[in-house]
Amino acid sequence: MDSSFRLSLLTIIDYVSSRAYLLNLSFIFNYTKQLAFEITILHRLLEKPRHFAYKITLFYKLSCYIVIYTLVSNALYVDELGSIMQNMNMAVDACNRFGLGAAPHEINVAKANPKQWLIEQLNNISFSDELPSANDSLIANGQFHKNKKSLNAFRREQFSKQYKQQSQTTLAHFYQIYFERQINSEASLNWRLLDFFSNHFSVTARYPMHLNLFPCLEREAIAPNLTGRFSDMLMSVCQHPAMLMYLNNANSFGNRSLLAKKNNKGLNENLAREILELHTLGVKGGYTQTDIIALANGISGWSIHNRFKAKGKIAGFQFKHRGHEPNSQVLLGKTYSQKGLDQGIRMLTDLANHKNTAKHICLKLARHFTQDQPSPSLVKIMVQTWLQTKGNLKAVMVTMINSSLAWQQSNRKYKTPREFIVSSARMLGLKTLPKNMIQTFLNDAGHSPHKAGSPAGYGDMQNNWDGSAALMLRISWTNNISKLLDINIEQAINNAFANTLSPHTMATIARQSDERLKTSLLLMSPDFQYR
Amino acid sequence: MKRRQFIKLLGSSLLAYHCPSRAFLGNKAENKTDKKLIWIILRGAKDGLHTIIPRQEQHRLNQYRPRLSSALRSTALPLNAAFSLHPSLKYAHQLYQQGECSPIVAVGSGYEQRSHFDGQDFLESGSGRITQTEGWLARAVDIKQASALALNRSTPISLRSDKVTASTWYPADQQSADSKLFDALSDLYEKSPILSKRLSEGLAVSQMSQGVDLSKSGKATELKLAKACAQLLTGDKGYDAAMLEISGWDTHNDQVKRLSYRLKVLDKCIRLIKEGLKDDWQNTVVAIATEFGRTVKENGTKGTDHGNASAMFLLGGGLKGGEVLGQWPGLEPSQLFENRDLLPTTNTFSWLASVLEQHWGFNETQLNTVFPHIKSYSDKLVL
Repeated sequence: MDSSFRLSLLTIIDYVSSRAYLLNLSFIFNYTKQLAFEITILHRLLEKPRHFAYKITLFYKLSCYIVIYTLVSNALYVDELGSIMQNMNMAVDACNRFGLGAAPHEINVAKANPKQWLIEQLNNISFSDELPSANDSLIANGQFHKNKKSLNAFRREQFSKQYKQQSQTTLAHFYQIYFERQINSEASLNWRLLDFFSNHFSVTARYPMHLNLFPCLEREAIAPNLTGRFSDMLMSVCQHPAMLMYLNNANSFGNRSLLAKKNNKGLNENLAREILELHTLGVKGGYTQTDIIALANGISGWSIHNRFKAKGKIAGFQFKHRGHEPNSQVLLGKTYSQKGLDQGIRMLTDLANHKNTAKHICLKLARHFTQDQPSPSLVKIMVQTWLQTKGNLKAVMVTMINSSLAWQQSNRKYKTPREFIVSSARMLGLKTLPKNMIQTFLNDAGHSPHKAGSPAGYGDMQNNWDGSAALMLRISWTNNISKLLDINIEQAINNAFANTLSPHTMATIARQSDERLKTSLLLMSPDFQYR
Repeated sequence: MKRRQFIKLLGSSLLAYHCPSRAFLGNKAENKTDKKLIWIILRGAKDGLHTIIPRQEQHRLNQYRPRLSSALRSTALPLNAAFSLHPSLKYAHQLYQQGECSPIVAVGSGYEQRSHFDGQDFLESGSGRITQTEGWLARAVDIKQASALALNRSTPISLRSDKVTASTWYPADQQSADSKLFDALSDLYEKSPILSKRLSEGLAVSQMSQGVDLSKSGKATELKLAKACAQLLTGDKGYDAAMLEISGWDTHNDQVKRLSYRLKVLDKCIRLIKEGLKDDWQNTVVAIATEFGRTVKENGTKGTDHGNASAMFLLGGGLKGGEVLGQWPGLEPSQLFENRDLLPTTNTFSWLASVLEQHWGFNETQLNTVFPHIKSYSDKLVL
């Protein structure tokens, strides 16, 4: 064996063994080491021509090892590639399904560990903007009515119109800020969760007063409790003026209370019914009409400071003990003999920690995040966590995110109108959307914030949002936005899907020559309409 | 042989010439209808007691609803010796006097739990169970081979079905896109059956509604929808069945004002429908129902809470009309349901079944398919 041949052999072996070492292919590493040994030690033997057989055997051995190495390392690479692909799919779903839609570069950040990336986003949300608080709105409303009284009939109408316009402006301003924060957030999972609970405790604004007050429920009662205990969130919501006003509890007084006797007022069971039916146990939660009355009595007197009296500088929740139904109440078989405010507090706490509340809300959460008919096993483990942690919402979310059952690839969720426009803005790398592209569209689509029309809030399944008129509306929106922008289609695809966009969609888009048409197709593609 | 065949052919073609429908058109022609049906659902549990007011029980009303009744005593529109209509329903009252309106008292769907959402789902599915996947109108439309339109953003449960495709139409301010985009979208949705179906429905409705005129209908969306509904039902290419919905009936507080306003909207919708249908009013039946009624006694916030039996309406040019139907159960405490609600004495679905039987000519098997759990009534509703 001449020295150059030997040298080249040894170089090859060196390369193979180092790759083998890096890929932990120890058996190949060992064999190549042995081969190198054979070559260096035995080369002298090979110098004599009669050991031609050795050369052949050696050469044969070497080629075998190279073939084995290639096959094994390819397999590992594919497996590595496979797990890279799996992580990529998961990163895409983390951004699009759990978040509000992948923004540029978000998938790259998520792909290292998608589940952990999501879990780290779970935090309370704070609002530090200049929007009026619930108490401010109530005081302002009290002022408005007081000032109105001193005007003549004509001025009064003007003044009312002005107040109404002001309220509408404040609400519009709120929408813009809210959606902009959603579009730009790096922790969009949080915003999705906020939206979920805001819809769970849905309040619909009817009068100008409501336009100012109702958005505060989300900011003041829900956002600070997103990652805490559900009982805390429920308590905050039930003591917030928005909910008390919306479901008529502010004027609900026990039939045997002092206020009822004096002022000819009485009980209103609306809030109590919806707490049981919608907010906690759920319609099949095992409560009866008697329980509804018992709870209504328990929270009778949970009211709001009178903002029309001159002393209206104090606003917000007021427990009117003279309007509270005296005596103990029996709710779901348990007797509550606490006095005053405590009676309602105990009732609500027990409701929040009830097994059926856990089942009801975990089902809704699983439905919102994963699929219209969520996996019962997934709901089961979430309920277990709920009961173990006494309703810690963050823990329940972590359980859901960590379970592989939450990442199913089929039966994807159809995007609601709000999800559609927010994810579009995020994918296209926009910082905001013009007001008419948000508010007019949502109005037409029937998904305006605080306009659900019922305390059950907006529906969360495909058949609530999927219809021919609805689709035509989205097409029209897409058409308008494509006209406004100049989008690099490859970048957009990469932002939202990395390399996971379906071949059929890719092909249909590639076939078009008009850039704006490509953008419209991407936004209306089945890949993008589902998450 | 050839000649014989030729003569046979001549003979049979002569026969066919005289009976064209049998030779050339199939089964569908027999079912093709000019009889229209409009289903209006009132969401939120409308108070029947103050819509069709039992005059003969005025003392009971004053006792149970002191603050609500006082506002209505003098101004209610009399229907007969026993009942009057809420003053807001002026146009409906006129139709009653012309024999084109049949109010029905004490009607219940059979659902007794008093949850809006379950109640509405129960009313829409019509099968005696609460489901969200299929509705009674979809089944009826399928049997009748009729075309159906929901004046709504997405398909409501009544018109949902695996077999039937109901279109939806809703007014929007947005400009519509151009045909290149629609062509490309058809391509794109090749592999997505649901989106593909929605796109073709949407385009079809879009075509049909090119000329819909929404001017002078009023600000409320329900009025625009009522007006559009009438226009989309008229003519040869018009739909055979339509569905509308009106919300806002959940009067837990301030009922006098709120119910009055809502009934005005309902009244105006009825007017827009009749005027929009023009000649087609003669062969249309409008059925109006709600998921349940409200408590007989008022609550502490000048309203009422959820109850059981409520009022139902049938309207149309071809109705027998002019008579208050149903059976009044009475307002004595012993006559109430669970001591708090009006007792239902007839079933909503049975009335709807009667409409399908008499207006759309359904036989018993067909009615059983639509409403498997009830029977229709023999009262003559349609002339």
